[in-house]
Amino acid sequence: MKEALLSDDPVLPGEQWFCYWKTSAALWESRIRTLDTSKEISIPIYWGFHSEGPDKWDYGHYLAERDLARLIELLVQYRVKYRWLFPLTPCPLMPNGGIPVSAARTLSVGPKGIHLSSLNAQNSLHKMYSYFEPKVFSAFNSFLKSFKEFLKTTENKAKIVGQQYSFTEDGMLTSFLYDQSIAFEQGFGRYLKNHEIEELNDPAEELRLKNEFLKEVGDLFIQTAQTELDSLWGGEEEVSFLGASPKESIQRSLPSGKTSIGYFIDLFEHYLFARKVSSTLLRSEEKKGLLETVLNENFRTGNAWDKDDEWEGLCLFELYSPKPQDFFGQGLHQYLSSQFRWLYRFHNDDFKDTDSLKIVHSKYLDREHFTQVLKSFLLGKRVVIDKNGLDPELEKRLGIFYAENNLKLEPVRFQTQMTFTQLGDGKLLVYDGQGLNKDNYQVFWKKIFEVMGVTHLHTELSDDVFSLWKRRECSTDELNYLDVRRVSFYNPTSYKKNVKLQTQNKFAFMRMIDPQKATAKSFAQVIDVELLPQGRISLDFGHFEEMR
Amino acid sequence: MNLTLIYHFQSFQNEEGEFSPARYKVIYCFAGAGFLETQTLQKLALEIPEADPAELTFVTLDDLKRFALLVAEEFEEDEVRLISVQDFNIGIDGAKDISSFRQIFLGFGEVIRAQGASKKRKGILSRFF
Repeated sequence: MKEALLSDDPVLPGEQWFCYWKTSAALWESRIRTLDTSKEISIPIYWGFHSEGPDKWDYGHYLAERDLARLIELLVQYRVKYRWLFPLTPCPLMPNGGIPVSAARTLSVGPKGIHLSSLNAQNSLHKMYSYFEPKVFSAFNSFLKSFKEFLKTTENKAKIVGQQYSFTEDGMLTSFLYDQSIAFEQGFGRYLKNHEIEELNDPAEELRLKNEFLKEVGDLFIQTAQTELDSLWGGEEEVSFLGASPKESIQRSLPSGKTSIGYFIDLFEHYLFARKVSSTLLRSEEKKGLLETVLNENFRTGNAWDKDDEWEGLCLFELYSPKPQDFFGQGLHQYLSSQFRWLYRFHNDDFKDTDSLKIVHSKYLDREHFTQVLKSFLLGKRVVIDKNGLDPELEKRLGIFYAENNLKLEPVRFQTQMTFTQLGDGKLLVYDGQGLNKDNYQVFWKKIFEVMGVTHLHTELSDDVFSLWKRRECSTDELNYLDVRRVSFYNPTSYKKNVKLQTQNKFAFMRMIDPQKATAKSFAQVIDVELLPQGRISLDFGHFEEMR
Repeated sequence: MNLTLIYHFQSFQNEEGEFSPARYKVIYCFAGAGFLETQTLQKLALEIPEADPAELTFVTLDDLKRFALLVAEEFEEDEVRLISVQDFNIGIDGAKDISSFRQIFLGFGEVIRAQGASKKRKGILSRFF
């Protein structure tokens, strides 16, 4: 629990990030000595901090706190596993968003016209500067070349992971790269000129082109980092900062502050979208209590789905669609939210070949994804496809797929037209979402999940009680079970809350873990949980019936 | 802290993609106890002719001020501070920490006073997020 004790520490502000510039280099050793060597730490590179002038970068010659060779030596000496994090967008954890002062020319302007700025855990206001300023890219490129050469002179073997940072406001995810400042507009003007677009009278087209330009610039920063760092490149990932939006900066500055339950809502929203989060901007008084507990127990790496020791996030449903709203009209999100809360996640891009039931919207299906989805079925996975809006070419290919594999099709009429087929363990159900009765979606989805063989404990809990499910393989003394599932309940409210779980003849209550301001009572097939304000409890269940 | 309203003067576009006249849009509205509920603000905006309550936009600055006063009366506040996004951005430009950030809400923009202020305040906390 070392990290938990150090959460008020600017050097280790959360998610095992080590901010070397936040303390004297003379104190690095004493800090590194206390780290848990079984956990990998992440070291954000505050590249602007190493600037000694245009194209001149310092790694300890002028300032001891820039001496990354010494830092690497200490990490190697104390056998601490580490990776570097390199910002591919403005980073709210760093002054000026991480860029050198010489390149910090134009403040970024967010979607509501407000300068992007975030309060950090020490109450400093970090202002984001536009990445569309040509000087930023030039400095970025120069630093990468210099940093790569510098690392060659050290014992470093760690990879450098590029990170793109974002915030959410009113449910909308926005990249810190986003900008509508004069620097962006000038860049966009050049972009139009390069594409020989002289007149732009359609606002919708202008918006589309601006989004395209934004994405191209984002990709340019990624590709440049990847190319320059070459073998040291460890890929890129997206991280959403808690408390970083313009609205939250105001909220956090008010006497009332942002409530713990507000952070819980944000955290679990990110969880549904499988986003990595960072709590490193939050003050200790914002994190303290149940929020710190849920972060330490589940978000040590920033993503609670990640496997931590033996436990991994339990995901029963993977939802594939460019926009989650695509499923809203069919009542799917509403149904899952009420019956399988926080047991599903949305994807808009990469296809994950897990054992979860995959629900795929036709808008997701291009040729590549279509092939991946059908292959997944052939490999014994369960797939549900909404064919409404499916490309006619792909629909034709689906017919060929059925024929080539001699699949026995079972047409079903239940609210809408469906086709069901099985091959080994694989189950494939294709339905037409357009025909669904929106007023009766509960019956539809209940039936679908029965057919597809989804079983889980039935849980009754109020909206402001939060739960996280995990699973692990059985140990040798638990061989009667297929797997073990753990649920942790958190009550961030000021009221007593009750939760009821029904084991439904498929799960056996095994044990209760670490109850704090909470109790659990076991009856025949029912577990009653009582959570006092700020209460938490975990319960383990053995799963003794095949899911499908 | 006073009731504060941050607004943006911006051009809009209709569904056909043509620009309509510029409007004043409420970006944030808050007091020391937190942000005011959007639904309540939208309900109050219904009282301003030509306003778009769903978007919280107003045709003139006078309309915005009338709306701000309605909000102040509804939430039983003596006065309301109106800060344009431009002024807010100047404040951010000069702020370095939470203390100077808070000063934006005390020193920037225009303060307008509500008539019939100082009524008995009741249940105000339940009206905030």
